[in-house]
Amino acid sequence: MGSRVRTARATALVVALLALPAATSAAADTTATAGFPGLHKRLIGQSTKLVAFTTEFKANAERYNRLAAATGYDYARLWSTQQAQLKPLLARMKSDWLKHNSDYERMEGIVAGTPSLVQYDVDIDAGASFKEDPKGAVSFSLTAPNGTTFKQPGALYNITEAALWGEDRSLVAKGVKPDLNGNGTPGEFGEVLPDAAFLVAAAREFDRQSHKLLASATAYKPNTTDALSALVVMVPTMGEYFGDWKNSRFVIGARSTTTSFNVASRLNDIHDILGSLQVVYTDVRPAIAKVDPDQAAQTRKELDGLAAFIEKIYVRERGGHRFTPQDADLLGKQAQDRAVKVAGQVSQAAAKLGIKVEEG
Amino acid sequence: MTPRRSLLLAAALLVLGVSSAHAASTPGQAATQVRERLGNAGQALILGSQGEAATTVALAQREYRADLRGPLAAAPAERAALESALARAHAAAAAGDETGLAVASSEAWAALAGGGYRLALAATERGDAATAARWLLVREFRPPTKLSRPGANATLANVQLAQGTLSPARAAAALRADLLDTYQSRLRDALGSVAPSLANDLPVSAAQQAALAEGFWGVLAPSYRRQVGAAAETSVARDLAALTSAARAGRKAEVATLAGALSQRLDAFRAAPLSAAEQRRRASQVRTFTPLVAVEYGRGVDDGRVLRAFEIQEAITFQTGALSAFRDIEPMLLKRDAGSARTVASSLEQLGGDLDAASSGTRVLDPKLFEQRTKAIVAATDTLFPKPWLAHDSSADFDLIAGSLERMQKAVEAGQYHIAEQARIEAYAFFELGPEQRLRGLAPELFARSEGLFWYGSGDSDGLATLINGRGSPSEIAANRVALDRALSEAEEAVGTGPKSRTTVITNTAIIVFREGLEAVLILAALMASFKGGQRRLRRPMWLGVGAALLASAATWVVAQTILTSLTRYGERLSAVVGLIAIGMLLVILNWFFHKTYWTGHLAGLHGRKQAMLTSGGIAFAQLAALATLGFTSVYREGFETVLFVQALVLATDVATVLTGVLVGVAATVLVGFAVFSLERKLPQKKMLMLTGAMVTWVLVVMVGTTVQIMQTVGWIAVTPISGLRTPYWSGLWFGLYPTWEGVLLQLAAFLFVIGSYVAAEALRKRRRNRAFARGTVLGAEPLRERVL
Repeated sequence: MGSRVRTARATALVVALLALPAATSAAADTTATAGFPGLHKRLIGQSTKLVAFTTEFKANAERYNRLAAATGYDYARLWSTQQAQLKPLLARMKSDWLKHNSDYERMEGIVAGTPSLVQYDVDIDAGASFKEDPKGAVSFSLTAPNGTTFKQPGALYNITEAALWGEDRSLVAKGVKPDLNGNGTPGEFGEVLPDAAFLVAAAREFDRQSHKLLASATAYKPNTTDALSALVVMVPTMGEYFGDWKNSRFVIGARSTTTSFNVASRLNDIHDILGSLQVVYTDVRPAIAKVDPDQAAQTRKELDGLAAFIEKIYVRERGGHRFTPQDADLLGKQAQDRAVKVAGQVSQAAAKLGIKVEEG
Repeated sequence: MTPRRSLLLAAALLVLGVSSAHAASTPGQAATQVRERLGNAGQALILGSQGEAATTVALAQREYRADLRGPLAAAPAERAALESALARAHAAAAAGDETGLAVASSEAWAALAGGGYRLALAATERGDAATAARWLLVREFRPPTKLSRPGANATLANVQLAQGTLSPARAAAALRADLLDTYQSRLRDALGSVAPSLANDLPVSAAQQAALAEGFWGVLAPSYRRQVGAAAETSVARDLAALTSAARAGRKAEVATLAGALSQRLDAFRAAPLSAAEQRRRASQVRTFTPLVAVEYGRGVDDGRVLRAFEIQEAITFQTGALSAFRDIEPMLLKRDAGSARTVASSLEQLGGDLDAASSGTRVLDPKLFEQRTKAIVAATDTLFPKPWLAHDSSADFDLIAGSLERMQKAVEAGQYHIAEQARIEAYAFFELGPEQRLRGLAPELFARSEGLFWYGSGDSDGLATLINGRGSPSEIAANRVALDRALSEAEEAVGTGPKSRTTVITNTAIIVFREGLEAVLILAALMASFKGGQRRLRRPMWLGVGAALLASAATWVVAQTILTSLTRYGERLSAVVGLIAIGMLLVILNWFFHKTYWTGHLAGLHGRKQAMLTSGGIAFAQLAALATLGFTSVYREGFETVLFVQALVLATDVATVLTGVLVGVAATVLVGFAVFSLERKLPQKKMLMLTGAMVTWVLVVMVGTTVQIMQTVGWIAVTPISGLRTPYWSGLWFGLYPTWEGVLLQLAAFLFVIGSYVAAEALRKRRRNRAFARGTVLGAEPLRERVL
């Protein structure tokens, strides 16, 4: 830097004064915030719902931890002495989790596609554990009430799912096979006692992150660049999500070895994410229409067509249809190809608007 | 679904389809409609509704006839292929043949893409931008990845064609390059997934992807024919058809053999040859990234062990970047010197293997060996690459900056702020090393904005240095990076496209040269004007220093022409050292004047000799040396930077333009020097001394501030931003004031030193005068201390 800074800044002063009108009009392209009502409403609304869920979830996790702590974390004793409390408590936590799984997904397209918010996506929904991928790992580590630390354990939705349903055996009590649903067959899928210390630490972090996200969402001022980035970054993740779906219990059943997406179908997430991206597109479409009305109309049609395509699969799965891995692969490729086309079209619009779409 | 319900649904779909077919007003929308129908038909078959599938394909055929058949007349081959594919799709859907429908859909899709390409290209070549734009909406795109976004070169070329700023031929070349590159990438992806799909018991997917590869070949074949020959093209087409047949039949071994052989043959082919600029960029990336592999590896390894895994990861990033860039230019190099090209490729691959081994801890090579290998690769490119590729390309610098900023962000996300700071400094070093100098001349506002975002803020952003020091959240830092990315993107464009006007470059250059010279001229003019009477000879050593500095600057000019990059790399360190010497000399001379005030008075009082100091051999030599050094350092520290700046700018513009700007700047500087010199001579003694004092104090404070800043840049002094303080940019410009504790405190110390010295000298003078009055004698000694302050 040094004296070069001084000289350059002297020049900058002159040039900046001369270039002021041009700079002002360029800035107007990327910082106009008036036209994003749907995006902002969705972001704030879903963040608020997420906060309500994590607050409740944390309170229940604290209760579960208190019960476990009272037995010195002796889970056999906990199960034998506290069944009456444990059954409804864990059932409630699971049903809450399932019911509110969409709270985040319905804004994921916005959060994950917005550079200033993307870290929340890593920590809440998409990040790996340090063991799996040190570079793509979540930013936080957990310290349980008993002092045990869990270095960058993975995304909060995933680790809470893995602990509650026992998809990660290291996060559940060993040697106890509870019959949580009382059907006389203990140890069925999901019938586990989660590691209470881990679960409460994860629930606390989840609650902390959701509150932070709500604050960031409230302060966030949407702009055309972010909206276009969200569409380009998020739309083409369809293939990846279909891959998750293909490898989950929903498609390959008990052969699944994944530790997430086994209790709520990944189709649900895909459906919700696309919904949020449709909201984003609605807000950004007028800007695209200004530079290319044909393209704006075509992209609307392609995005809606993709959403309808997903909706149909989603509805059929909820209706009990079971897809084969081959089906899932073909449908995933179809969705991915359509998504790439949408992202490509949005990139062209961004280029015409003179906006550089940010990298993810 | 019952047959009756299927029939009703089919009828409803037909009605809906007919109405929506009329709604498809552009080729893009019509093509989308047809493709979506085929996809929906596939979905219907998966969901067990054969009737719905057949009806949906029938709708697609109807919509094709209504909206596309006519417009596609100018692309008869693609139209015939599309019609045939739609007919087969209908038959397959009606028969419940999932594989047949998937294959026919792929063929129809590729035919649509091919037709769109031909018609967009033809319209562009005849200068019809509007028609080309409509057909461009039919195109496909490369799937985005974490590090790349779909290109928009064809779209932008179309916009420029419409505006009349790009010729039809150049617009067509851009469109051809963009779309052929896209379809080659899609073909490669499809081809690569055939064998794995079959191996994973996904036979329908395998057949679908094989058909897609075969279909996209129709777009690329003419280019292959031109480059490799008709026979070779026919052979590839035959093998692709055989691959589709083998995939449909589920013949795994045959599929694996055919797919492998086809991939190998197509690897050395580039349908859309890179433009000359892109070739240079890739070549520059190879030559820039390769040495950095060894640098990062050396930092990560010690005594046969990996001590810093993240350095190895960085080495892998550079190795991957170098290999990827080399792959892009490999087809051209294979024609030029196949043996050398293969050697370089395998050497780069070997580096990757060695890095993987180090990363996993199985084998850790000696860093010296790594360095030898990377040097050998770069040396091989000296002869392998055509001469125009050997010049440094600034685009590669922006790639490096982006890579370092990416690592910074990752480190922040992992909570490793010290690594993030290292990565930030590294990114800034690449910025300084590469585009900074040209940017100063071409787009100084972008330079100032980028620099602010790297350091203490610009606009609404706090700056990366401030944020990292304050352990800002990953999202805060990401937001700052977004702003920086934007500035750098604009900077890359500004550097890449060169000057927009000659006058702008001349003006920018003149302002920079003037500002560089201002401090030196103020010091020299102020001190020289104060050397009057018997002290006039003190001007001589200063002139000698100035002359030597000008000669040294000229020598730097000559040397810099050959080793510009190296000089720039060490420029900041040299600047810091010269700046320190200049400050030291300024302080020595100030001190000497104060010292002299006392001694002059003292000696005059005792012996009545006014000029004792100036004739005393030992002390006079020290004074002469100090003045000569001050003259030298004042001029050379500015001369050195001006030389680097001018040389870098010459590469982006032309010598005459830059030299004109330099001459204007020098003339303005000299004028100011004369003005100050004359003003001082005309002013009454007291006012002249006050002006001199103010100027030298200002120069000292600015010099301390900027030198501290340079030392922080090269890592010699810590960076501790002052929390909550945002200084306007003019404070750095005119007062060297940056919002760090180190800079502000040292500037304050320098200022207090001057004021303290003045107060001390004043006190001495009063005491001496009082004593003289007490003795009834007023000494006639010159108040030399006032010459400085």
